[in-house]
Amino acid sequence: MFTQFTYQNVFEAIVETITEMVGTKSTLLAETRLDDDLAMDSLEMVELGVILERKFAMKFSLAQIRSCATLEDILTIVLESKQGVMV
Amino acid sequence: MDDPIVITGIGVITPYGLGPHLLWEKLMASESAIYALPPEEVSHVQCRVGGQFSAFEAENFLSARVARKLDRFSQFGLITAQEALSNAGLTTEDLGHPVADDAPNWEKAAQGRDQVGIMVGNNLGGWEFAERELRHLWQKGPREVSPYMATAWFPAAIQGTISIHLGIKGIGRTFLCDRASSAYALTHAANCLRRGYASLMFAAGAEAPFSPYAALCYQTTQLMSQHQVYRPFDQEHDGLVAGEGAAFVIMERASDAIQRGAHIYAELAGWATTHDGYSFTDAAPDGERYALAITRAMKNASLSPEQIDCIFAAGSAIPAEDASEVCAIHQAMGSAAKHIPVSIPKSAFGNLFGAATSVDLTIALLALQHKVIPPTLHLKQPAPGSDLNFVARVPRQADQLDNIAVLARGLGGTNACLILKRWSRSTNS
Repeated sequence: MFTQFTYQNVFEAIVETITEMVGTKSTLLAETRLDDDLAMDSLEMVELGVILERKFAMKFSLAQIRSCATLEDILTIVLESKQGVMV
Repeated sequence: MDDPIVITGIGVITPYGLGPHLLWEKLMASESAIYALPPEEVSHVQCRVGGQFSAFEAENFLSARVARKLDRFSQFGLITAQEALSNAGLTTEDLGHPVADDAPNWEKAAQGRDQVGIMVGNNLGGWEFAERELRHLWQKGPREVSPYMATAWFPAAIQGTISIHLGIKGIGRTFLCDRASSAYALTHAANCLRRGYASLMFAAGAEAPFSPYAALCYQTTQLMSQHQVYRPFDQEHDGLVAGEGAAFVIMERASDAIQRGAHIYAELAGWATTHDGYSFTDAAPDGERYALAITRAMKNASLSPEQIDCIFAAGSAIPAEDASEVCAIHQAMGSAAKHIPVSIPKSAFGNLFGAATSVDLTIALLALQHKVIPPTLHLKQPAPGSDLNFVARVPRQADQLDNIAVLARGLGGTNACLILKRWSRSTNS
């Protein structure tokens, strides 16, 4: 169960998830682009949303996850939704 | 005179494993690839054996990112398409060509890849994937269904998958006509080359039939052997046994193949298709329309029955279909029918349904190369009336093996015949 919603913890969890999904050996940064840099398509974005929902115990709407262009965008959504529980 | 259509690359997965060498080695050893299937797949049906590539792990051939998005039949298809391309001495880079700076945008995007096409035969689509995700839907709810269900389950998924991964931008079709599906894919690919719709064609069949739902459908249509032995034309024949796999070939016009210095396996010299128009499930007993497909293919190949050195029959082992096929061969071949060696190599590893003909064609290419006819396993005593020259149980060396007719027949009498001719530069220059 993910409980420590700090910027660094969430970022590392997102990096770990995406690295495993796309099988990349590149270092992922907050500004890494999901489509141009990682060639993630719309179905992969849906898969990512479902995995992150489980990981962070939150809901991602399709529109939310598809609006994310970079890792930073995902990070922002997660942290905003967890503001009440941030440490 | 038309530019001959030739085959320059092959890629194949059978229940024996990956590659033409392994396939040929096992056929020459008269080794069966049919075994008992996992009980959870077949406990509800009577035929509980099959030709399954049980050691197959998609991640050994494809990245995990690609493999998890595809059903098993598309994995087979993508792997064999890549193998065929490589076997033809080509890479994905070769499928395009330089485009002038002032060319239209669409041409720049295509980079000549619109001259490469793909024809696929399949029957079932991605039922293994679909069954798993339906279980998720009913047991856990819609959010647990893989998003790749949207693109994995349908028969044309393989055509799209390969087009995307190899950058194919030309004509593409998927054919569904039961065990004749890949025969139709191959004939359509040849027509595309002949009519100038493409310069290079991928043509194939792929099938992964071992899902509980698919097994049930096949049992309902009474195709499957109750005694769990695939013995076409034998007096104890009672239906087929399923197998899984795929076979892709690369086809091009001979002038193009020669120009790029490609190895030419054989010429696809003739092809024809007909329909019985008789019944949803049964083939017409008289075999008249089936014979017409064979006759037309021979005419297209400018060959007489006496010049056909071997026939790979469809050989479903369904008694009525076997009898009808014998009728058709007699009608088409006349007095030569009793002399031409007839074999059904798939009896050793199972009927691959949508991939059956493309695997047969691949074996025929290998037979031409080795001048050996692979055997029909489990054929001990031909059924009454099956008076053909069967190559039973052991391979047969052939002094003369230049022209092979590959026959295909699908549910309800969907008929096809393809004729391979040994390629000889001296006779084709």
